[in-house]
Amino acid sequence: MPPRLQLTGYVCRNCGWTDFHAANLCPRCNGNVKQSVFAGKGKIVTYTAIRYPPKGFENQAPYVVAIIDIENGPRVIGRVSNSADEVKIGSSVTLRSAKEDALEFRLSTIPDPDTAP
Amino acid sequence: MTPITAGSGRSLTDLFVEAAKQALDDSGAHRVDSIYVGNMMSGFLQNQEHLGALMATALGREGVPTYKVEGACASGGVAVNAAVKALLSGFEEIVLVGAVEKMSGYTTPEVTAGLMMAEDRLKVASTGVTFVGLNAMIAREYMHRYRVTHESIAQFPVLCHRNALDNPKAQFRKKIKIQDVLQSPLVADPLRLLDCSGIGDGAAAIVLAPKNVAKKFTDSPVEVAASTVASDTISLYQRPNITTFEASRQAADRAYKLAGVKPKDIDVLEVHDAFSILGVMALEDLGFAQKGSGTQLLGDGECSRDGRLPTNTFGGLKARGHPVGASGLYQVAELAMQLKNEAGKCQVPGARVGLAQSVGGIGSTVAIHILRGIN
Repeated sequence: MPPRLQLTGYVCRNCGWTDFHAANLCPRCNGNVKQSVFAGKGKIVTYTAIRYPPKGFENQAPYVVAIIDIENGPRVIGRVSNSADEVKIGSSVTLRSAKEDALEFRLSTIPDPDTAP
Repeated sequence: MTPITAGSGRSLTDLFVEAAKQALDDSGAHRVDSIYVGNMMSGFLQNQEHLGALMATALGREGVPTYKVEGACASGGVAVNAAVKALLSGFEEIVLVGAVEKMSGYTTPEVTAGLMMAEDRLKVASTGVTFVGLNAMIAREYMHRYRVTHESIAQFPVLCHRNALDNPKAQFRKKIKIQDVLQSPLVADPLRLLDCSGIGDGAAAIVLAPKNVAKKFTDSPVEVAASTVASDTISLYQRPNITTFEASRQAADRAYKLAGVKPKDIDVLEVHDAFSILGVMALEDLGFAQKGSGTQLLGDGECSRDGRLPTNTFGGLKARGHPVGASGLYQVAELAMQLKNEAGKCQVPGARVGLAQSVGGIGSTVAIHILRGIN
């Protein structure tokens, strides 16, 4: 098994606020923020499938985008590289890549064709 | 206000001047001390900024101070708020507020990318999500959490299309049924084409002045009883609860207090139904229904023009049309027509107090106006 990809994020040293978006100050309490890493896994809060994409994504549709609660970490938004009928609210997902600011996840229960032996 | 259309080829200036001239003529105002222009996407779609000077020039009013106001799809509502504050400063007495958006003549991916400027570019737009997609995620969570069906939510666009039949300026004057919504093509699951507002061009304008000045020009001025704006996180994912717009609640709470009214006092309501789910959420966030039960008002017919809470009486964003940065001003102008008893076939008899809700981005900016007829 390849090592599981971790998610880089930010945590407030004072109040525990957390986000995967960089912040100079905690937006909740103005406390100092430090960089941190979280497990690259979480659960789907809600999701959609984009069928009419914006400019720059025309050749990729349809694709699933979800809001995901990272285990002991922040809430994030990212792609899920499964089809819409495989995804459900509450599904477990694993981080697959974090390129150019867009996170990409995959359902944990379905083998990843790119890394399967 | 101009009719809302797609494909006319009319320029930003052409649209704005039509609406502004009409507002100035109707008001009888002989001078203008400043001009506020609401708009969201002219820089992105038309490669045109500096709309303040552009419109002042087109109106032959150069010399006055001008301001472009941008708050995504709430630009029109936020422009009214900025103008109200200018009047309260005492520096200006007669203010022209106009808002314009031109969305047609571009490809759907171009307009879709332009609308995404209202969300965070780095972490959110980079995923390829669209505004329909963000609202679809809200709709899915809402339906799951409150056990509400798509069929119930689809009552909102049906109501709007019904009301737009009587509005000669509406973009979509066609009656639809719930089944039409549920059978229209998927845009971003679970939202379908008829859950979504369309692409259109339009401009609206009003003239604002202190009460003592306004009374010199008209026997039936409309009072701005409250004008509030609130903000929320730029991104949907940054909120613990995505089935309510906290900015709507905050702006509305302050507006009710400022105007000295309660939700039960509202005779006519204009909400930001860019997507069916937003219409339902607005009924809840603005205090007319408990969380999760907004669709019951629709089922009971309370939101129809002859109901207890006439809503989106000219067709709303869905059917009147949603030229994004201008919609907030269409709402305020429509409320004024209702309160002056000049709403024609859309008239709610005896309407005295109206509320308009204009939403920017994914609830990241919300403007609320409460208007009162003082005739």
